[in-house]
Amino acid sequence: MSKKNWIFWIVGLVSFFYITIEIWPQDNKKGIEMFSKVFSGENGLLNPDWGIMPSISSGLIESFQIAIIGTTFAGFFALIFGFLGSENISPKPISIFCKLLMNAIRTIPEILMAIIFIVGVGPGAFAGILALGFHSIGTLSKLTAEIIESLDPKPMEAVLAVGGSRISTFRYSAWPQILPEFLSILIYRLEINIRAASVLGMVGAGGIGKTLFFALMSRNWNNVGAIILGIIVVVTIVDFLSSRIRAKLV
Amino acid sequence: MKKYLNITIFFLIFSWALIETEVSLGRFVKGLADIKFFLVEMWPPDFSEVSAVLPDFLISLKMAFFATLLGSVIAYPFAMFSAKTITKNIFLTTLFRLILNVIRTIPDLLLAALCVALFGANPFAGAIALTFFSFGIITKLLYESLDSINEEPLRAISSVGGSWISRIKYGASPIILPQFLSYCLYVFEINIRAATIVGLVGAGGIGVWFNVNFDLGQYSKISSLLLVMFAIVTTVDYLSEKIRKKLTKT
Repeated sequence: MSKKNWIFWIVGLVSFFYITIEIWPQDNKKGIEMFSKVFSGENGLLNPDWGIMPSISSGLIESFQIAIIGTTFAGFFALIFGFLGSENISPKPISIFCKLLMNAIRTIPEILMAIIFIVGVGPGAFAGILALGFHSIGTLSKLTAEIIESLDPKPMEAVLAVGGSRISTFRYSAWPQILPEFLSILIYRLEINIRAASVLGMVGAGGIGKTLFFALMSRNWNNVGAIILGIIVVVTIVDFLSSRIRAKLV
Repeated sequence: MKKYLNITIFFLIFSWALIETEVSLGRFVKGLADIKFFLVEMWPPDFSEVSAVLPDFLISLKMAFFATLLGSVIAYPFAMFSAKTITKNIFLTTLFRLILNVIRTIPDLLLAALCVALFGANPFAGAIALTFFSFGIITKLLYESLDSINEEPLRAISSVGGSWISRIKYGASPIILPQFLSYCLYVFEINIRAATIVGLVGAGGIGVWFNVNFDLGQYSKISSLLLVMFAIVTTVDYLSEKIRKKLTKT
């Protein structure tokens, strides 16, 4: 290990301890007591209450719906913005503008977007869909533009060489290259969105988050435990299916 | 034929979700007036309070730094336990991967809300929540790259009687270290974004001020916060990308 690395590590460690001391909670003397209260015991997380299963499952289904609609809408717009943003197809000023716009959209977290859309369309699943959709347009467009920029030009030249029009060049050489990768990032985005959709309800945007919020506020750890289990099951299923489909696509 | 079947299935799920969540263009258009009012109120951004909340921006940065450092230090041994090339025990690697998968399914805001219940509404809760979150991501990225490293150096170490520790120390670490650092930086980028919103559930950092200003209806202050956040996120992304490019080159 060189001298430079040592300095790097020492600076890192010192700032780590400095931060730890700074953020260490002073007013929390019941910490360990809280742990045992929250986790174990009759009212703890590890003793989930199955009685509220019906409301959990309807919440989870709504979260899934929010994720799937939001992702699909975002995918549709991402195709358009992806083409506009790619350096090799659209003119340079447009592509730079699109990329900047997408970067700006990506900075606003989903949960803040949800709050903004709740102002517009009222609390409920629709606000969540709009929030997820808009946020995902930012990320998906960037990835789509990258796919388009890395297109292999040779198949396109081949179609042009045999006298194909611009449309047939796109249809028979560009599109077959774009589609599998695009679907793959879309499905990957669905994995991320299903996680996001399960917490959006905490600010009022529909889905399981609403149930979770009430359970957390009333400190009903049995219900919280059951909800967390529900989220884990749904996310695991979606992750599993998504990785299966993606493995087939690419 | 199968292609059309897939499209039909997707279309059915999609329309079911659309009907159940009551998505309507009419409501969106009607809501646009309210959203426009909101956006107009946001302009011009009111920077008068930014200097007062600057310490909370710093707290967010510190939370992200703390979480990335602690999370990555814990992640390193766990990734070694989960990598098939290092730990030659299918039972052990499968068990570790299973646990990690479950940890990764829990969304960051839910972790933050749980930590707030455990440690109180302070930055420490947010930092611990983000630590768990970063631990999950880094471990997964790391064991996936460990799975694909060249096994010959490892076999050489085993054949001269090297232990599990020396396989890591002399076989895996020299190869994997640059990638590990690059993953840490990537997770730091994610953590910066997450650290700004965990405050919405009370876990400290700048997110607390979003909540306060939303409740008070001071939208012009929100836009100034968003702009500062955009500047911070973009700077960190830019620097981290530069460092990551250097790391993977050598």
